[in-house]
Amino acid sequence: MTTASVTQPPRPVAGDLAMSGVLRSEWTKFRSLRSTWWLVIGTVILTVGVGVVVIVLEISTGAPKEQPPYQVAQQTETAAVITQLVLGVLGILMFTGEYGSGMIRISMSVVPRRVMLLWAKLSVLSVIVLPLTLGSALLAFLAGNLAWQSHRGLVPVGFGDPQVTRIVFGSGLVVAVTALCGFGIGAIIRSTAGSIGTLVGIFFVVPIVAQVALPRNVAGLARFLPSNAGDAMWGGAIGPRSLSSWSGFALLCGYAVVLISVGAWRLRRGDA
Amino acid sequence: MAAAAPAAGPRMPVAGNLTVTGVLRSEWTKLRSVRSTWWLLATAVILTVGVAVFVSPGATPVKPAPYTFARNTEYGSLLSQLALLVLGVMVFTGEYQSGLIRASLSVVPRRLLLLWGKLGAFGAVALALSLASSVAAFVLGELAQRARPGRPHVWFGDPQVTRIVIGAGLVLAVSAIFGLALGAIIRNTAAGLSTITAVFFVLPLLFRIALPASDQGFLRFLPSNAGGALWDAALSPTSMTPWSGFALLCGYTAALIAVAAWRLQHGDA
Repeated sequence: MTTASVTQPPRPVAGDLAMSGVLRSEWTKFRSLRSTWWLVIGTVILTVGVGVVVIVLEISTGAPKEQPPYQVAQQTETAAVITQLVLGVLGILMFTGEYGSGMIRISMSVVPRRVMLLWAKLSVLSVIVLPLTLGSALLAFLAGNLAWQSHRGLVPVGFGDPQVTRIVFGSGLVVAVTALCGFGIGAIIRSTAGSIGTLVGIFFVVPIVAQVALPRNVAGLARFLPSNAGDAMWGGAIGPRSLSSWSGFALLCGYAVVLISVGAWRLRRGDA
Repeated sequence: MAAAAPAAGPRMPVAGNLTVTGVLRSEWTKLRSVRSTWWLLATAVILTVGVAVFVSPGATPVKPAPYTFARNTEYGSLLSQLALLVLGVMVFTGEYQSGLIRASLSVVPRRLLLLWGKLGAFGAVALALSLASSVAAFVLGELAQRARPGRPHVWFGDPQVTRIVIGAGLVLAVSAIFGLALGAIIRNTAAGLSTITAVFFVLPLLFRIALPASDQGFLRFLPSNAGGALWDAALSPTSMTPWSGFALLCGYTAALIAVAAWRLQHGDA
């Protein structure tokens, strides 16, 4: 009689998994790492700090140019160049941190439906990063604009001015999607060093080399690089030609989708 | 009795057995037995030479000055710089990450000796590889150029060509050592890599966008642009003279090595 319980097929483990539970566990892992908060705080300080410093430097040169409002908005968001790296690393560490410490074995034993793990990580990352980048971009604009107004004779810049809204929130969106690209790269490569090297290569080094070394007849290809596609959204794209704002942003999102899909495919099909 | 005998005498200091060659050999073993080393070195060579052969010829004017031509063949070293920086940072952070550093410091308790051993082994590899790849890039780039009719020949005797070709290799090697020293200070792979890539690739871009035109002269003192001066590739409006730029890059690297040595010697491991 007692053997009856043995013959009963074991209940599939995955049956107990609820998305909310996996989400909660990922949130716990995410928030309990000190590096998470360093990167988050670093992002806010960099975004606002660099924006204000750029404006102050511009004013302190003596005769700030009568710039169109959209250029002032771009200057307040200059930090997006570097917060892309900061949050890209945060995205990378979502997976590579676990592979580095061996935690991934536990995570996958507990959540054998691997793609579910990926969605949970992605959700936690997005829910933190998106408000973070949009909020700090807004703060940077408001603080930079205050510095701008403080100088006598300069006209304050507002959201009503052409392109300003798109530049301020666009820069935040681009940084957030870069973090998602980092997430995809980390899920594919699984090594922290390899992933950071790849992200930096794609986003920072290849555009520089493309700018100086590409033959003139193919130099236009540089605008399809992820970094230049994203920069088209808020300005500052390197290279002679750039995509239009929203198509550039759409292309960047496309890259993120492809990277994350490949990561999901590798997680599902390959060894863990 | 037999057991007591060794305990009675004062123990021989462990460090007495250490020789520089032994430490160098162990560091070389560690370096060559990690697969990522070979991946990154191969990537560095392929990128340097590949850009010289396949990309640069199209971007070079039909009758370039010899030094312009030489510089254009070396642009790939910007890409391999990333590979070597990663490798350099990981010489120390890899050990801290895996815990191997405890074994290393137990075996080589004179900590500075460990630093010199790593610097020696990695520095030699980086220097040999950088020089070989920069020379190969120029030579193969030149051969690719020769294949096209009507292009002028450029060779080592031409003005400044030798400085640019060898200089690109030297800068590559010194930046790799810069990465090693930074890794020894920061000790964490993710943080070390973010910092070094920010210093070499993001800050020049950020400052170029952010600084008003009148303050852009400051850009020439960044490590990347100081090194770039040696092979005419400083991506800044003004540039230092070649050798003073290279000297500044070496100075930055020496300062970082000093900080790393101090931290290793005086701090917790």
